[in-house]
Amino acid sequence: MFAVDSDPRRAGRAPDGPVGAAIVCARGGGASALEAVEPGGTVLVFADAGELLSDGVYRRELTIVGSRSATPETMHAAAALLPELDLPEPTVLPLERFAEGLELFVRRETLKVVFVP
Amino acid sequence: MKAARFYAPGDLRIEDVPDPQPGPGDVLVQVELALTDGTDLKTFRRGHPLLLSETPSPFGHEFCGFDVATGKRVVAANSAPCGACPNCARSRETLCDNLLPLLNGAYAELIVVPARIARVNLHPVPRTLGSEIAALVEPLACALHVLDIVDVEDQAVAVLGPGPMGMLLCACLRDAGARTVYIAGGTDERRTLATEFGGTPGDAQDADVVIEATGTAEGWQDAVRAVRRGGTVVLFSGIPNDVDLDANRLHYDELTLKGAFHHTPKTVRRALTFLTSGARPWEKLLTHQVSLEQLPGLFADPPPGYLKAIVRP
Repeated sequence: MFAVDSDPRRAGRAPDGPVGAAIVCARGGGASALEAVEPGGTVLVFADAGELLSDGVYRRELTIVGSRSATPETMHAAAALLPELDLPEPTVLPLERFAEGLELFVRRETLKVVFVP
Repeated sequence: MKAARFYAPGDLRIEDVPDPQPGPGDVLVQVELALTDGTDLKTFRRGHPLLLSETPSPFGHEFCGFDVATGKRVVAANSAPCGACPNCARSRETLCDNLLPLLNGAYAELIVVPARIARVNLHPVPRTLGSEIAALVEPLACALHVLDIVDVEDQAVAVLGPGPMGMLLCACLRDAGARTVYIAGGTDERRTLATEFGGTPGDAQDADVVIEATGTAEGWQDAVRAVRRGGTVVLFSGIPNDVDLDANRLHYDELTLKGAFHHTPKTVRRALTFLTSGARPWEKLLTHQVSLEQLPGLFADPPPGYLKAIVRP
């Protein structure tokens, strides 16, 4: 599994060739994802993919799957999975510092901000 | 021999050319008849990035004829997977790394089916099957390949585009257990004909599965617009330029888009069986008959009611 990001601090090892499936988690990543998958591969659109050009879908028999939100079942599965994940510590701020937290997120200095009311 | 040769969009010439010479394993076929199709018409109008390699090019790829060596009546598809590349190993034969060049040259008195195609995709024609119908094997095989891509059993399916491919798709989808196959677009006459192939005149709005067979950018966008939330769109017809698809709709309405390209050896064999069954009035797709010399005129100005033409060299 490869993580691709324009920020090298957040990216993992680059793929060494076409991949079987690509998941678009960042806005505008659709074109890169279509280029990244091998013929017959799958692109899962989990965010606003931006430009999604059709040509490869037909000739290369790609599958593009849209996905949004969660179901009660996947919420249960996510809760069960959380203790097993090694996630970075979130930034915790009081709700009064919402603007500051948002700025940190926009500057990509934190992955998640938890606001405490 | 006489043969049609494509020089440029709008420039198709009937010429005397040397008889083709088969190499080892190749099969020389005396063409009894060829069929026109939508891809050839599109190619005549604007060229084609895959179909023709260099010009002037032999032209036409749906045919039935006689194996000159044995006298047997045969049909062949216009390609065959190599069976050895990574995509073939994964049973994705339509993505074969060695699929090209595609076979062209059916609008001629003779055609050589290369050994790589003859080994896999050249078949004797059953005695009960007319040559005109047998020549439909290649387009029907493409339509059948859609069933490799999407499961339509008990689904409400819509086909956009009641052309010959739309009719063949209706037949395949109904045969595969689709609950209803709505046929959308085109004229009343076309949609009425589609009923004989299992279609139901209607529109594509909120269909479980929408199959795009118009060959237009608008058709691709209409398909994405019409399918129900959570539904599947199959992009079946090639178009010359990229289309920007509605990424928002894909994401928020959880659509699935799939491409269905070309045919496989298995769908070629199944197509021949389906045609032989007589399950549908296949002959109604063959609306016109022309000589080789009349072919450029037919492509330049298709007559009213035209679907497909039989070309007799």
